[in-house]
Amino acid sequence: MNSIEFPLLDQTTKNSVISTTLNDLSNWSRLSSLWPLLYGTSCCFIEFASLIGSRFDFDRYGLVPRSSPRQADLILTAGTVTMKMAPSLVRLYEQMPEPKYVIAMGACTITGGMFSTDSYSTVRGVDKLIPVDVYLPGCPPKPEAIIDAITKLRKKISREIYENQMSSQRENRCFTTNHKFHIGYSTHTGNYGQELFYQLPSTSEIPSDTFF
Amino acid sequence: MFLMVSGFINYSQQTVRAARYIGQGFTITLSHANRLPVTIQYPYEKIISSERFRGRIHFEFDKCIACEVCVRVCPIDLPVVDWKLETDIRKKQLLNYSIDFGICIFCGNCIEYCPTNCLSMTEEYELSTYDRHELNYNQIALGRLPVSVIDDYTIRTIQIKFN
Repeated sequence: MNSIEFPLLDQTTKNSVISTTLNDLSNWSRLSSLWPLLYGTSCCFIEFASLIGSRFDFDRYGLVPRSSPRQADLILTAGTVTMKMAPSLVRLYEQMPEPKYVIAMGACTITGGMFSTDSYSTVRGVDKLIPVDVYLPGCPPKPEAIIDAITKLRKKISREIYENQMSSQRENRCFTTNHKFHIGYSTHTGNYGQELFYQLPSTSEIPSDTFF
Repeated sequence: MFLMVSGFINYSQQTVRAARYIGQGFTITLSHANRLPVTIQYPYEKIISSERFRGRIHFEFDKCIACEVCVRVCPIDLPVVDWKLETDIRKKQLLNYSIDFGICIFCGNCIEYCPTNCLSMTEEYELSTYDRHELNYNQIALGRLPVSVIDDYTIRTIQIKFN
Protein backbone atom coordinates (compact mmCIF):
# COMPACT_ATOMS: atom_id res chain seq x y z
CA MET A 1 0.00 0.00 0.00
CA ASN A 2 2.62 2.48 0.98
CA SER A 3 6.19 2.53 -0.03
CA ILE A 4 7.54 3.18 3.46
CA GLU A 5 8.73 -0.10 4.81
CA PHE A 6 9.16 -1.12 8.39
CA PRO A 7 11.82 -3.85 8.44
CA LEU A 8 11.23 -4.74 12.10
CA LEU A 9 7.58 -5.46 11.46
CA ASP A 10 8.34 -7.83 8.62
CA GLN A 11 10.60 -9.98 10.73
CA THR A 12 8.17 -10.43 13.57
CA THR A 13 5.09 -11.17 11.52
CA LYS A 14 6.71 -13.92 9.51
CA ASN A 15 5.38 -17.40 10.36
CA SER A 16 3.56 -16.13 13.40
CA VAL A 17 0.32 -17.26 14.96
CA ILE A 18 -2.27 -14.60 15.62
CA SER A 19 -3.82 -15.07 19.00
CA THR A 20 -6.77 -12.97 20.02
CA THR A 21 -9.84 -12.89 22.16
CA LEU A 22 -13.41 -12.84 20.93
CA ASN A 23 -13.77 -9.30 22.23
CA ASP A 24 -10.78 -8.09 20.24
CA LEU A 25 -11.99 -9.93 17.19
CA SER A 26 -15.41 -8.32 17.33
CA ASN A 27 -13.85 -4.93 17.96
CA TRP A 28 -11.52 -5.40 15.03
CA SER A 29 -14.34 -6.41 12.72
CA ARG A 30 -16.36 -3.43 13.87
CA LEU A 31 -13.64 -0.88 13.40
CA SER A 32 -12.63 -2.13 10.00
CA SER A 33 -16.10 -1.84 8.51
CA LEU A 34 -17.49 1.38 9.85
CA TRP A 35 -20.25 2.29 7.48
CA PRO A 36 -21.12 5.95 7.72
CA LEU A 37 -24.56 7.32 7.08
CA LEU A 38 -24.75 9.76 4.20
CA TYR A 39 -25.90 12.56 6.43
CA GLY A 40 -24.86 16.18 6.25
CA THR A 41 -26.40 19.55 5.89
CA SER A 42 -24.08 22.34 4.86
CA CYS A 43 -20.47 23.20 4.11
CA CYS A 44 -19.12 20.40 6.29
CA PHE A 45 -20.80 17.89 4.03
CA ILE A 46 -18.91 19.30 1.05
CA GLU A 47 -15.69 18.36 2.82
CA PHE A 48 -17.17 15.02 3.80
CA ALA A 49 -18.24 14.38 0.21
CA SER A 50 -14.70 14.95 -0.98
CA LEU A 51 -13.74 11.96 1.17
CA ILE A 52 -15.89 9.75 -1.01
CA GLY A 53 -13.89 10.85 -4.06
CA SER A 54 -10.64 9.36 -5.19
CA ARG A 55 -8.15 11.72 -3.61
CA PHE A 56 -9.13 11.12 0.02
CA ASP A 57 -10.55 7.71 -0.65
CA PHE A 58 -12.16 6.61 2.61
CA ASP A 59 -13.02 3.18 1.29
CA ARG A 60 -9.44 2.42 2.29
CA TYR A 61 -10.68 2.39 5.87
CA GLY A 62 -13.68 0.21 5.09
CA LEU A 63 -16.03 3.15 5.18
CA VAL A 64 -18.76 2.56 2.67
CA PRO A 65 -21.31 5.36 2.57
CA ARG A 66 -24.79 4.11 3.29
CA SER A 67 -27.97 5.93 2.47
CA SER A 68 -30.13 4.00 4.88
CA PRO A 69 -29.67 4.44 8.64
CA ARG A 70 -30.53 0.79 9.15
CA GLN A 71 -27.28 -0.23 7.48
CA ALA A 72 -25.05 2.41 9.03
CA ASP A 73 -22.75 2.18 12.04
CA LEU A 74 -21.43 5.69 12.12
CA ILE A 75 -23.03 9.07 11.71
CA LEU A 76 -20.88 12.09 10.97
CA THR A 77 -23.09 14.99 11.93
CA ALA A 78 -21.75 17.33 9.28
CA GLY A 79 -23.14 20.80 9.19
CA THR A 80 -25.32 22.97 11.34
CA VAL A 81 -28.07 21.16 13.19
CA THR A 82 -31.04 23.46 13.43
CA MET A 83 -33.96 22.97 15.71
CA LYS A 84 -35.97 21.89 12.69
CA MET A 85 -33.38 19.28 11.75
CA ALA A 86 -32.88 18.03 15.31
CA PRO A 87 -35.88 15.64 15.50
CA SER A 88 -34.89 14.12 12.16
CA LEU A 89 -31.31 13.66 13.34
CA VAL A 90 -32.42 11.97 16.56
CA ARG A 91 -34.75 9.75 14.57
CA LEU A 92 -31.98 8.83 12.14
CA TYR A 93 -29.72 8.04 15.07
CA GLU A 94 -32.33 5.88 16.73
CA GLN A 95 -32.95 3.96 13.54
CA MET A 96 -29.32 2.94 13.34
CA PRO A 97 -28.56 -0.53 14.71
CA GLU A 98 -26.27 -1.09 17.66
CA PRO A 99 -23.32 -0.52 17.95
CA LYS A 100 -23.45 3.01 16.62
CA TYR A 101 -20.95 5.80 16.78
CA VAL A 102 -21.19 9.54 16.33
CA ILE A 103 -18.54 11.99 15.19
CA ALA A 104 -19.53 15.61 15.74
CA MET A 105 -17.93 17.32 12.76
CA GLY A 106 -17.37 21.03 12.62
CA ALA A 107 -17.78 23.85 15.08
CA CYS A 108 -21.53 24.06 14.52
CA THR A 109 -22.18 20.57 15.80
CA ILE A 110 -19.73 20.70 18.70
CA THR A 111 -20.95 23.87 20.35
CA GLY A 112 -22.99 25.81 17.83
CA GLY A 113 -19.87 27.55 16.57
CA MET A 114 -20.50 30.87 14.92
CA PHE A 115 -24.20 30.60 15.72
CA SER A 116 -23.64 29.91 19.40
CA THR A 117 -24.12 33.50 20.53
CA ASP A 118 -27.31 34.92 19.12
CA SER A 119 -29.05 32.38 16.92
CA TYR A 120 -32.66 31.47 17.53
CA SER A 121 -32.65 28.22 15.61
CA THR A 122 -29.32 26.45 16.06
CA VAL A 123 -28.90 23.56 18.43
CA ARG A 124 -25.87 24.41 20.59
CA GLY A 125 -23.94 21.24 20.16
CA VAL A 126 -25.20 17.97 18.82
CA ASP A 127 -24.26 16.25 22.09
CA LYS A 128 -27.38 17.74 23.58
CA LEU A 129 -29.29 15.37 21.30
CA ILE A 130 -27.19 12.26 20.79
CA PRO A 131 -24.08 10.89 22.54
CA VAL A 132 -20.93 11.89 20.68
CA ASP A 133 -17.78 9.79 20.53
CA VAL A 134 -15.30 12.05 18.76
CA TYR A 135 -15.38 15.81 18.45
CA LEU A 136 -13.82 17.18 15.29
CA PRO A 137 -13.28 20.94 15.31
CA GLY A 138 -12.84 23.10 12.26
CA CYS A 139 -15.03 25.29 10.14
CA PRO A 140 -15.11 23.13 8.06
CA PRO A 141 -12.37 20.60 8.90
CA LYS A 142 -9.98 19.42 6.23
CA PRO A 143 -10.72 16.02 4.72
CA GLU A 144 -7.52 14.78 6.33
CA ALA A 145 -8.82 15.92 9.69
CA ILE A 146 -11.93 13.82 9.15
CA ILE A 147 -9.76 10.79 8.46
CA ASP A 148 -7.85 11.62 11.62
CA ALA A 149 -11.11 11.69 13.59
CA ILE A 150 -12.06 8.34 12.09
CA THR A 151 -8.66 6.97 13.14
CA LYS A 152 -9.28 8.18 16.66
CA LEU A 153 -12.74 6.61 16.63
CA ARG A 154 -11.20 3.34 15.48
CA LYS A 155 -8.78 3.60 18.37
CA LYS A 156 -11.70 4.07 20.72
CA ILE A 157 -13.57 1.10 19.28
CA SER A 158 -10.51 -1.13 19.58
CA ARG A 159 -10.37 -0.43 23.32
CA GLU A 160 -14.01 -1.26 23.93
CA ILE A 161 -15.03 -4.05 26.26
CA TYR A 162 -18.29 -5.73 25.42
CA GLU A 163 -19.95 -5.72 28.86
CA ASN A 164 -19.10 -2.10 29.54
CA GLN A 165 -20.51 -1.10 26.21
CA MET A 166 -23.82 -2.81 26.81
CA SER A 167 -24.24 -1.24 30.23
CA SER A 168 -23.27 2.23 29.04
CA GLN A 169 -25.66 2.10 26.13
CA ARG A 170 -28.67 1.40 28.30
CA GLU A 171 -28.37 4.50 30.41
CA ASN A 172 -27.55 8.08 29.48
CA ARG A 173 -28.68 7.80 25.93
CA CYS A 174 -29.29 11.46 25.47
CA PHE A 175 -26.43 13.24 27.16
CA THR A 176 -22.72 12.74 27.33
CA THR A 177 -21.80 12.45 30.96
CA ASN A 178 -18.34 13.87 30.50
CA HIS A 179 -19.46 17.43 30.92
CA LYS A 180 -17.73 18.86 33.90
CA PHE A 181 -20.46 21.27 34.78
CA HIS A 182 -20.60 22.49 38.32
CA ILE A 183 -24.17 22.24 39.47
CA GLY A 184 -24.76 25.23 41.67
CA TYR A 185 -27.82 26.45 43.42
CA SER A 186 -30.59 27.93 41.37
CA THR A 187 -30.34 31.63 40.84
CA HIS A 188 -34.05 32.00 40.21
CA THR A 189 -35.04 32.76 43.75
CA GLY A 190 -37.41 35.54 42.89
CA ASN A 191 -35.53 38.02 45.06
CA TYR A 192 -33.53 40.04 42.60
CA GLY A 193 -31.19 42.76 43.63
CA GLN A 194 -32.20 42.99 47.21
CA GLU A 195 -29.04 44.78 48.11
CA LEU A 196 -29.59 47.39 45.42
CA PHE A 197 -33.22 48.32 45.74
CA TYR A 198 -35.31 48.98 48.74
CA GLN A 199 -37.61 46.16 49.74
CA LEU A 200 -41.24 46.44 48.84
CA PRO A 201 -43.22 45.06 51.73
CA SER A 202 -45.89 43.42 49.57
CA THR A 203 -43.69 41.40 47.14
CA SER A 204 -41.45 39.90 49.77
CA GLU A 205 -44.30 38.03 51.40
CA ILE A 206 -45.42 36.25 48.22
CA PRO A 207 -43.66 32.89 48.01
CA SER A 208 -41.66 32.41 44.85
CA ASP A 209 -43.50 29.21 43.91
CA THR A 210 -46.61 31.09 42.91
CA PHE A 211 -44.85 32.71 39.97
CA PHE A 212 -44.22 29.44 38.21
CA MET B 1 -34.04 1.99 -56.19
CA PHE B 2 -32.54 5.46 -55.62
CA LEU B 3 -34.17 5.61 -52.19
CA MET B 4 -32.65 2.30 -51.24
CA VAL B 5 -29.14 3.39 -52.35
CA SER B 6 -29.35 6.69 -50.46
CA GLY B 7 -30.62 4.88 -47.39
CA PHE B 8 -27.66 2.49 -47.58
CA ILE B 9 -25.21 5.40 -47.92
CA ASN B 10 -26.85 7.14 -45.00
CA TYR B 11 -26.64 4.03 -42.87
CA SER B 12 -22.95 3.49 -43.65
CA GLN B 13 -22.20 7.13 -42.79
CA GLN B 14 -23.95 6.72 -39.45
CA THR B 15 -21.97 3.56 -38.77
CA VAL B 16 -18.68 5.31 -39.48
CA ARG B 17 -19.70 8.23 -37.24
CA ALA B 18 -20.70 5.93 -34.41
CA ALA B 19 -17.41 4.05 -34.70
CA ARG B 20 -15.53 7.35 -34.55
CA TYR B 21 -17.39 8.42 -31.42
CA ILE B 22 -16.69 5.10 -29.75
CA GLY B 23 -13.04 5.47 -30.69
CA GLN B 24 -12.92 8.97 -29.21
CA GLY B 25 -14.47 7.73 -26.01
CA PHE B 26 -12.00 4.89 -25.70
CA THR B 27 -9.00 7.15 -26.33
CA ILE B 28 -10.06 9.21 -23.29
CA THR B 29 -10.43 6.04 -21.25
CA LEU B 30 -7.05 4.78 -22.40
CA SER B 31 -5.37 8.09 -21.67
CA HIS B 32 -6.73 7.84 -18.11
CA ALA B 33 -5.30 4.36 -17.81
CA ASN B 34 -1.87 5.95 -18.20
CA ARG B 35 -2.34 8.21 -15.18
CA LEU B 36 -0.98 7.55 -11.72
CA PRO B 37 -3.41 7.06 -8.84
CA VAL B 38 -4.35 10.33 -7.18
CA THR B 39 -5.23 8.86 -3.80
CA ILE B 40 -3.25 10.25 -0.89
CA GLN B 41 -2.61 7.51 1.64
CA TYR B 42 -3.32 9.94 4.42
CA PRO B 43 -1.49 8.91 7.59
CA TYR B 44 1.60 7.98 5.59
CA GLU B 45 1.41 10.70 2.99
CA LYS B 46 0.29 14.22 3.67
CA ILE B 47 -0.35 17.20 1.48
CA ILE B 48 1.76 20.20 2.34
CA SER B 49 -0.73 22.82 3.45
CA SER B 50 -0.89 25.96 1.42
CA GLU B 51 1.05 28.99 2.52
CA ARG B 52 -1.87 30.81 4.09
CA PHE B 53 -3.61 27.79 5.50
CA ARG B 54 -5.63 28.61 8.59
CA GLY B 55 -5.04 25.91 11.15
CA ARG B 56 -4.82 25.98 14.91
CA ILE B 57 -4.03 29.37 16.37
CA HIS B 58 -0.64 29.86 18.00
CA PHE B 59 -0.35 32.36 20.80
CA GLU B 60 2.69 33.95 22.35
CA PHE B 61 2.01 34.86 25.94
CA ASP B 62 4.88 37.29 26.41
CA LYS B 63 4.02 39.42 23.42
CA CYS B 64 0.39 39.95 24.35
CA ILE B 65 -0.51 43.35 25.77
CA ALA B 66 -4.08 42.37 26.74
CA CYS B 67 -5.63 44.97 24.46
CA GLU B 68 -8.58 42.68 23.68
CA VAL B 69 -8.61 43.61 20.01
CA CYS B 70 -8.89 39.91 19.20
CA VAL B 71 -12.09 39.73 21.23
CA ARG B 72 -13.55 42.74 19.45
CA VAL B 73 -12.83 41.57 15.92
CA CYS B 74 -13.92 38.00 16.63
CA PRO B 75 -17.37 37.32 15.17
CA ILE B 76 -18.38 35.51 18.34
CA ASP B 77 -16.14 37.30 20.89
CA LEU B 78 -14.38 34.04 21.56
CA PRO B 79 -10.89 34.64 23.07
CA VAL B 80 -10.98 34.84 26.83
CA VAL B 81 -8.46 37.47 27.96
CA ASP B 82 -7.98 37.55 31.70
CA TRP B 83 -5.90 40.52 32.79
CA LYS B 84 -5.27 42.64 35.85
CA LEU B 85 -4.41 46.31 35.85
CA GLU B 86 -1.12 46.89 37.64
CA THR B 87 -1.31 50.45 38.88
CA ASP B 88 2.35 50.78 39.84
CA ILE B 89 3.63 50.09 36.33
CA ARG B 90 0.43 51.40 34.67
CA LYS B 91 0.10 48.36 32.49
CA LYS B 92 -2.32 45.53 32.05
CA GLN B 93 -0.81 42.26 33.07
CA LEU B 94 -2.10 39.21 31.27
CA LEU B 95 -3.03 36.35 33.56
CA ASN B 96 -4.76 33.86 31.31
CA TYR B 97 -5.70 33.57 27.67
CA SER B 98 -7.77 30.84 26.11
CA ILE B 99 -9.52 30.03 22.85
CA ASP B 100 -12.11 27.29 22.58
CA PHE B 101 -11.52 25.51 19.28
CA GLY B 102 -14.89 23.85 19.54
CA ILE B 103 -16.39 27.26 18.80
CA CYS B 104 -13.61 28.93 16.79
CA ILE B 105 -14.35 29.16 13.08
CA PHE B 106 -10.71 29.81 12.11
CA CYS B 107 -11.56 33.02 10.28
CA GLY B 108 -8.23 34.61 11.19
CA ASN B 109 -9.58 38.01 12.15
CA CYS B 110 -7.74 37.98 15.46
CA ILE B 111 -4.45 37.23 13.70
CA GLU B 112 -5.12 39.97 11.21
CA TYR B 113 -5.77 42.65 13.80
CA CYS B 114 -3.39 41.70 16.61
CA PRO B 115 -1.19 44.80 17.11
CA THR B 116 1.78 42.90 18.51
CA ASN B 117 1.52 39.85 16.23
CA CYS B 118 1.27 37.54 19.18
CA LEU B 119 -1.31 35.43 17.40
CA SER B 120 -0.49 33.36 14.34
CA MET B 121 -1.86 30.46 12.38
CA THR B 122 -0.16 27.09 12.38
CA GLU B 123 -0.61 24.30 9.90
CA GLU B 124 -1.95 21.91 12.51
CA TYR B 125 -5.43 20.61 11.80
CA GLU B 126 -5.68 17.26 13.55
CA LEU B 127 -7.49 18.53 16.62
CA SER B 128 -10.20 15.94 17.17
CA THR B 129 -10.72 14.77 20.75
CA TYR B 130 -12.95 12.45 22.72
CA ASP B 131 -14.10 15.21 25.05
CA ARG B 132 -15.22 18.60 23.88
CA HIS B 133 -13.79 20.35 26.92
CA GLU B 134 -10.32 19.36 25.81
CA LEU B 135 -10.79 21.67 22.85
CA ASN B 136 -10.64 24.68 25.13
CA TYR B 137 -6.97 25.58 24.77
CA ASN B 138 -5.33 27.79 27.37
CA GLN B 139 -2.22 29.86 26.82
CA ILE B 140 0.12 26.92 27.39
CA ALA B 141 -1.66 24.70 24.87
CA LEU B 142 -1.89 27.60 22.45
CA GLY B 143 1.83 28.26 22.78
CA ARG B 144 2.84 24.80 21.61
CA LEU B 145 4.32 24.68 18.16
CA PRO B 146 3.24 21.76 15.99
CA VAL B 147 5.77 19.48 14.36
CA SER B 148 6.08 20.38 10.72
CA VAL B 149 4.99 17.76 8.23
CA ILE B 150 8.22 18.19 6.31
CA ASP B 151 10.34 17.41 9.37
CA ASP B 152 8.51 14.17 10.12
CA TYR B 153 10.52 11.58 8.23
CA THR B 154 7.92 8.82 8.55
CA ILE B 155 5.49 10.84 6.47
CA ARG B 156 5.93 11.42 2.81
CA THR B 157 4.81 14.89 1.85
CA ILE B 158 3.05 15.68 -1.36
CA GLN B 159 2.93 19.08 -2.93
CA ILE B 160 -0.09 19.73 -5.06
CA LYS B 161 0.31 22.34 -7.73
CA PHE B 162 -2.75 24.21 -8.75
CA ASN B 163 -2.88 25.83 -12.12
